Amino acid sequence: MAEKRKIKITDISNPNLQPLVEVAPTNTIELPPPYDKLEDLPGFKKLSEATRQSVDDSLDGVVAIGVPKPKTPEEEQELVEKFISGLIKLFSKENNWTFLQPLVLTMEHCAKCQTCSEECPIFEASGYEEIYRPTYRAEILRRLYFKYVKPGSPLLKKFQVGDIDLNWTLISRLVELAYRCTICRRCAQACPIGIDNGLITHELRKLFSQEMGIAAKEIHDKGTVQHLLVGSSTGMTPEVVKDNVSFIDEDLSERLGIKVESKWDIEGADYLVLHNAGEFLSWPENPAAFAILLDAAGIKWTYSSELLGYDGVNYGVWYDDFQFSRIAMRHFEIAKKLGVKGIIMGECGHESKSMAIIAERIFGNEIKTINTMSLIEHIVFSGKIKFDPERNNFPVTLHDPCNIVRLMGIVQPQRRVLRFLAPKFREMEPHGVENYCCGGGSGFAVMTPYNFLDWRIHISGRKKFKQILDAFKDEPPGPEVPKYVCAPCSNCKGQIRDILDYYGAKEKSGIYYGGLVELVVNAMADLKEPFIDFSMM
Amino acid sequence: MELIHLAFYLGLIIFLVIVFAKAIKIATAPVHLRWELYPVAHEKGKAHYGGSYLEEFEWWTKPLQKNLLGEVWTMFQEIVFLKGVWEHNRSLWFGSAPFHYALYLYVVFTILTLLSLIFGLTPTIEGFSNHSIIKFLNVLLWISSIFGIIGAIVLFLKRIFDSNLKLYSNASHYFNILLIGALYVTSFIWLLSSENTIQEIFGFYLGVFSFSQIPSLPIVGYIHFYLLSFFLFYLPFTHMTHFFMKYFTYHKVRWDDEPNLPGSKFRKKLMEQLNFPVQWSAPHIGADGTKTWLIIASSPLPTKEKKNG
Amino acid sequence: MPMFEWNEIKIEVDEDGFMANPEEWNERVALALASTEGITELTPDHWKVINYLRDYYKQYGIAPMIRKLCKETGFTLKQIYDLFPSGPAKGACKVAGLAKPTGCV
Ligand code: SF4
Ligand code: SF4
Repeated sequence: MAEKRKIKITDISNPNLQPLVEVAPTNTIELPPPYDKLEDLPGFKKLSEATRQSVDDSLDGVVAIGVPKPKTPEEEQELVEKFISGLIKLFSKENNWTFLQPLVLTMEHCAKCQTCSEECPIFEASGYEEIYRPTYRAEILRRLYFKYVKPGSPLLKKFQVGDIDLNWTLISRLVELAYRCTICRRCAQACPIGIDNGLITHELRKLFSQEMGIAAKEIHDKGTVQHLLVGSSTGMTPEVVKDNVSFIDEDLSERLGIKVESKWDIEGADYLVLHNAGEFLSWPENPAAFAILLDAAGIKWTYSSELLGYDGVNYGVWYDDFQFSRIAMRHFEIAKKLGVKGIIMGECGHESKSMAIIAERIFGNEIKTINTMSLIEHIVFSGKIKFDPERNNFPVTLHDPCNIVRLMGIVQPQRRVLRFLAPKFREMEPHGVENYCCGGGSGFAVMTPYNFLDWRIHISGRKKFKQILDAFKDEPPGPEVPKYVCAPCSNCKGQIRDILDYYGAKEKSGIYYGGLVELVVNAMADLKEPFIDFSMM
Repeated sequence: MELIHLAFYLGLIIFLVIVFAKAIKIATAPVHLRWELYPVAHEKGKAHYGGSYLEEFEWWTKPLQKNLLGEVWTMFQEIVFLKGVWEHNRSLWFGSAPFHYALYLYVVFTILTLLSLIFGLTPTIEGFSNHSIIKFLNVLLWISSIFGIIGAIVLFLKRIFDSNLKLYSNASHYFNILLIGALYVTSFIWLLSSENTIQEIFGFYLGVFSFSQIPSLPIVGYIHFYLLSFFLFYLPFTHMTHFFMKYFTYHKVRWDDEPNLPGSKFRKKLMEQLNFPVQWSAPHIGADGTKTWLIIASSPLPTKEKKNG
Repeated sequence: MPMFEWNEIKIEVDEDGFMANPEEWNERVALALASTEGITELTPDHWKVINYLRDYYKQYGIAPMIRKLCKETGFTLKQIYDLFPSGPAKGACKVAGLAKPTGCV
């Protein structure tokens, strides 16, 4: 690879650099054979000239958002002014009380010691591309904050943090840069001072969305907006979801020879089960396994067919406090109306964190939220169900979804379950709260525009793929032994699927993936047919 | 009164006032949304692997137990061993550790000096320089100065030559290191050049705190205290205020896992915040500068958004 | 939005190569879109999948579950991948002129 051009912080506003850096797959994180040859892979998809004319790819040649280029200097100026007004709101307590305190702490106290840098899987996988360093993004915002928001003498502020030129080039690159970090917050964990560069990504996205109306289309237009209007980010209306669920019930009842029965809008149920609706479409075994397990445990549960009542996602948590609150509020209202004690959150990391932690602080916890990990552990060890762990007699490893583990501290329940029910369970390294993100965090798993999918496979997802391969390195390498990556989160599953597909890892190495509850149901001694059927996966 | 008196008073007052004001400002900032990061040091029996009370099925039926000792122990390791830097950035530790140790020792030195003065150990008493405390303080200042010089040199060189650090180093970083380094260089030279450095320092503090004449100091002593006065004056305006802001980054953000239970401390404040007027101007927010946060969150998407949705 | 051209066909596609205006779909367009997936000929098996997808889409406004697609067409997932190498969602739906699936799917 050619020697990297050294960039300066201020280069971000230099329009002559096109792109600012050229990012390509690298071997910095080495994969074992047969995945070790970068040359065998197609590399990043080239953008067509027409695309390059219409949207901005000037950050790194990759496009996640595709901000349209302003047509006139006046339009450009207007956008710059809008950005400044957003910047000021980001630091005002009325507009951003939700995160003001941590934001200001991060702006004011970073020592630039770079202790956090090494911990970022994106920075590493890119071959240490400067723009992906956790502090790079933060440094841009810091300089802008000092220049445009913080009172004081301009000269002194330049002495303190340096200068930066604000222009449209900077803004359009910063939009993209706000979507080159998964908000996994591994960097924040390493910071001795308690600075949070992951939070900076979150706050930048908010500035762009809440002030300028710029956000990833999959997360906003097709995400929260569709969720609020149609009922689900998948586009499923209540009618469709009910139809799909009854299909799943029938299909599995037929295959397993038992009755799988989902329940809708049951009054007097104890719990509302709220899955990520993507599960119904892409991983129907997961909600089906839930239904089987909850029934076997004698829990009184129901689905809701109200708009939003059957899709527990909340994409707002990645980019917009208001969209977030709208969705969270609807979820709690639906549960309240149903009269349930609480909500059982499905295997979805961002749903769990959004509801149980972030929304809880706003709306209180009159409606209780039950996270899957603790619920499954409770059921498995309640003695109500007979298990035969030998049914899971294949290698299993566990992926720790950032939202559930590092960001909620739910570490051991899923492990106690796996140690009991999966005799060939082994950990990835590192794991638990030090895990690596799957590479699909903060919405990436649902984003595939332009060449962004290539980026998230090669850059944000590479570390995870290596961890998965390493976890199974003592097993026969070929597809004859099926190997199961347990990823108890819909988003992580989507990303892991995309990685495995890209490398053909199912065909080459027999690597499959799925949730936790499927393994639990697969070990239920009373089921005549095995629940997990690798030939269908 | 001499000029050094005024310089020192000014430095000290600014230091105290600004640090206090900043602490108040951040402590009274709005309640933010939960954004904790595990391990959370006060999770009883779970902190060592990063677990939380959320691991318990129906956690609200069990008492929430906080292990404050865990917090203290984690903070202690962070402050005394600079654990984070040791684990994640070893090569920097060899500069950062002596640099910080020098500051700690200097602070201890100063506090002991003031305490000694309060307890009547004044430079005029018989056998002052043979007093064991004075001997001890002498050693403290030697170690502090040497560590400080080593730390400053290592950090300065690292900032210049280490490409990881260089790009993010501004004029102020170099200045800060040089300023603090100069503090130790002057104390070091003072120790080397005078037999009675500690006695002279006692004389200085006795003078400034009793608002009286300071027995004359060697030139290097004056330089040292002018530097110190400037440092006190300057510190509160820099990122180095992390020495106390760290309390907030840890206790109020990273470890803030307080559930919103009825009657909890922050509920009232939160209610006020929900009534803040919102000004964000993206159309999907539907803000007009008077509608409150809560009203916006509970209203449906503005119709404009529906069309392209 | 970018334009996609193939022989006489000229259609607008989104950043993933899905049709921007699904109502413009016809059988020639299907062939054109198939070419982006490395498919040179649409066999009756392809059409079976495409027709099912289109019928379902017309009725419900979204793509069907993959499992349902398999069951209703009688193909296994593997066979669908053989027909449409980038899979049911990214491959088959695109050729059938559906909008790109959204949400966590
Ligand atoms: S965020 Fe923390 S670890 Fe990273 S450079 Fe700043 S102070 Fe150092
Ligand atoms: S939050 Fe994660 S992805 Fe983002 S900068 Fe930090 S370590 Fe990297």
